[in-house]
Amino acid sequence: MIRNNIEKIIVISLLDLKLKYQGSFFGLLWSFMKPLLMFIVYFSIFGLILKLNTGFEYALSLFLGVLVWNYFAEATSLGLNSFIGKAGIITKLYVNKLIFPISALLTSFYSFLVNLTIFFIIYFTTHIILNKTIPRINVMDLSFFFLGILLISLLILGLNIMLACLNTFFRDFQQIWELVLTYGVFLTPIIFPLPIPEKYKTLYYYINPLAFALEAIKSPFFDKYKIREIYSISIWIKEFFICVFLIIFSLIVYNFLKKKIVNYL
Amino acid sequence: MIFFKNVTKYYKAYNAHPYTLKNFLINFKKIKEYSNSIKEIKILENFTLNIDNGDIFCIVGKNGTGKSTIAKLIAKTIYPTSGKIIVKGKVVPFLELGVAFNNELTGIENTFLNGILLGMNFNYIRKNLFEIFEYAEITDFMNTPLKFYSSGMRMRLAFSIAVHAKGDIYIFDEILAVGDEDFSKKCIKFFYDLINSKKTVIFISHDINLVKNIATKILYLKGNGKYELIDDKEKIKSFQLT
Repeated sequence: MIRNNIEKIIVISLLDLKLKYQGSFFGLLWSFMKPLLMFIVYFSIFGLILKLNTGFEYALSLFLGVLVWNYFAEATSLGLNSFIGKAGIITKLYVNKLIFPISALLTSFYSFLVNLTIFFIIYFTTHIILNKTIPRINVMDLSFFFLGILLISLLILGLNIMLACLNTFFRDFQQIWELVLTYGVFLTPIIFPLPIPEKYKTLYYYINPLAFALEAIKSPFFDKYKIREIYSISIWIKEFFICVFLIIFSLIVYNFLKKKIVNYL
Repeated sequence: MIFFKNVTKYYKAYNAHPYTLKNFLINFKKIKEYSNSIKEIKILENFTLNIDNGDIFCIVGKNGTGKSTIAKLIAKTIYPTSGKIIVKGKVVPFLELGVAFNNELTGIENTFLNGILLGMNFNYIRKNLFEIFEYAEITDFMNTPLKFYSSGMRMRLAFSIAVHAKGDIYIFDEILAVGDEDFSKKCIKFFYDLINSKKTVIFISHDINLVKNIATKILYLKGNGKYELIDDKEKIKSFQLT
């Protein structure tokens, strides 16, 4: 039964990915073009015009930030509609409804992986061309990178289940989530480090686990922007606890509502 | 085996769903009152039923008496208001076919998507892919996007996928005979094969004579939660709608 559900998730997520770019000229390349174009806008406004920060280190870290943000925004937007969009299936066939928010996460994860590969290529080539050396990456920092990706994926999973349920009952969440995503870009240290007083820093990372995950993902590549909080095990544990708690909480909400969902689709 | 225990199913006669976030927040207390004031339509009340393996269970009755509701309850796409339903075995619904069909995907991709949602596993579909298309008589169009299929081809593919989903319990809303004359015969043959191979079949029909011929149990729904269950061979033969 579990194996069958995993197969369902993989098939649905792959076909959804295919459908997303079906018929477009650039195809899967769009999943890279979108963050690239977003990056160009941010970099030209905040880097070149406002002169907030320049240099290729900043440009690269901004680019990685945009990629991670794009993964989050895309996955949650898909997750938000994962029940409504699949209403035809949910109302007609008996399937575990949880497979839809999970496959929404996977669909975006595939394109995130492609984007990360492209980022690595750019990162290493710029370093080799400009510094004439191959950048060294600390193994411990690299583990932060993977933990960061895991953390952000858990966060998305929890949010997806919750948002999919809520959106079924109140379509208002479509509008609300759009706003959250618009503000979120500026409330997460993507473009610039937020001016948060030192003593509230950890609190901020608890409220916005995405910010912490992003710092962790950036850490192996940019020594300049490394924060010391990522070396604290207790913060890591609490961050994971928050995300796991969110997943458990949304599963409770889902279990409470699951019998009614069909009536509202 | 299917077992219904004290199952009650009500539908609410909504005009429109009153839920918006604004409504919900402003009238938080009133929502419950309002929700309780909506007229309820009784479909099943305190309904107990036992369907054994190999039963040909036929449901008859006028429109709106709950025939499809029972089918959906067995297929688990809707939940009862109260009571318990136990279904042992894999259910293959022939109620609506090809629900997950997507116009942009090719025939093969749609086969995988629908097949896997019907509970087949990936390897099984991969091994039987050609057979599925052969049964549907569309082997030339395996890689054609579904939007270029004719409606007959779509139905044949959907039927063929459902046929290959090896189940224990099959639910039919009338005998689905799709496609041209030859294919219709194939569909009807499949239906009778199921009956002969002692699968559990749930069959909703208006064709009383057919029902009398094949049924081992007849459920006659009379509306408003009233029903009559006939499981005696002699009584099935002399069964008549009143």
